[in-house]
Amino acid sequence: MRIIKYAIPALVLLIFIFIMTGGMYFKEPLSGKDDFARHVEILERNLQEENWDKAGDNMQDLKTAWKNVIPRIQFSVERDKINEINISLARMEGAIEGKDRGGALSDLSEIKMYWNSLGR
Amino acid sequence: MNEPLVVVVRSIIAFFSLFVFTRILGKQQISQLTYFDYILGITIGSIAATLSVDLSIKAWPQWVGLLVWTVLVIVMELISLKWRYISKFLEGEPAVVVMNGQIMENTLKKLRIKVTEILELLRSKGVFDVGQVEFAVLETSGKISVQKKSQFQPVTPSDLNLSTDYKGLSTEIIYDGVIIDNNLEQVHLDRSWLDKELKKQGIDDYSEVFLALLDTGGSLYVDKYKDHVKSPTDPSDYPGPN
Repeated sequence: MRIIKYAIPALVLLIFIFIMTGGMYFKEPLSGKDDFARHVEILERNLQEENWDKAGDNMQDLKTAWKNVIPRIQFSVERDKINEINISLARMEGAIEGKDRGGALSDLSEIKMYWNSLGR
Repeated sequence: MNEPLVVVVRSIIAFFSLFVFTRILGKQQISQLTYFDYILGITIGSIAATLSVDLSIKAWPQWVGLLVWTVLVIVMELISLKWRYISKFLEGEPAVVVMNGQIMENTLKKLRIKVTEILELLRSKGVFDVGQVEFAVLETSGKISVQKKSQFQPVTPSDLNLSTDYKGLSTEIIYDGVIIDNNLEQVHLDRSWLDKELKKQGIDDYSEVFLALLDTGGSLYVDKYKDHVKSPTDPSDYPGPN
């Protein structure tokens, strides 16, 4: 009985801590579809080579990956961080449509920075 | 981001964390809290509220804030338990606000308390005439303690010249099945007397006794490990950990 009295609250607090600090782990991919970091790499390569058709497809993959990651990380990161990535993604999509290499690369760089700091 | 869902999860975290932390903080009653304790309580509650609904900040740093404030409160409690000087500094000291029927205006000014508040506190103690008060002390909890002038105090046996039996402190003779010989010597008694007294109460061996106290009237109070109460009254009204 005494163990339950102390073990249950301790266990509950540990679960809470895991939920709150797990952003770093929760953002890791569970499948190829939600591998955000890999999609960023592929997109960067295509942008540098100005393969606009491929970059457009990569952009959609990146958005899908991001949508899959959000539900997992939403409890451990700030809302503003998620919004910042959303905004950068929207801006980069426009830059790709307009075939603006510099703009797209600068948005991608911003996304990389936000992604790396996510959950830290 | 599903904001309502995040708020639900964070609220559960804040609620149960606050619950666990307040249990750790102890059973001090609201009426025993000093003003500083009260402010601490509000601050901790406010952090928990922010943790619950402010999604612009990560949950973790806010939870750490909650933890730190709770730990600080515990540390302060331990420090003031150990060091009287620091306790005085942290919690303040009681102040005499009425003396010999006279209100101490300077003290009230220092404490920034209105005289009407003092009168209200006195009334709550059944004192409607300040002239009847010998001493009124404002405690650190904000409560008032009143000593009325002798002519306004209730009559006691000594006022009526009635003789009463002396009641002093009891002496521990047996504790946890072990005889405390020092105490037995102090009251000029020995083990053979104790054996006789225990036999009178139907006890053959002192190891059956949890506590034996000798009062100043000479009678021995004995509490055995084995209680005769078959079903002790349980103030709890629902099964579960106490």
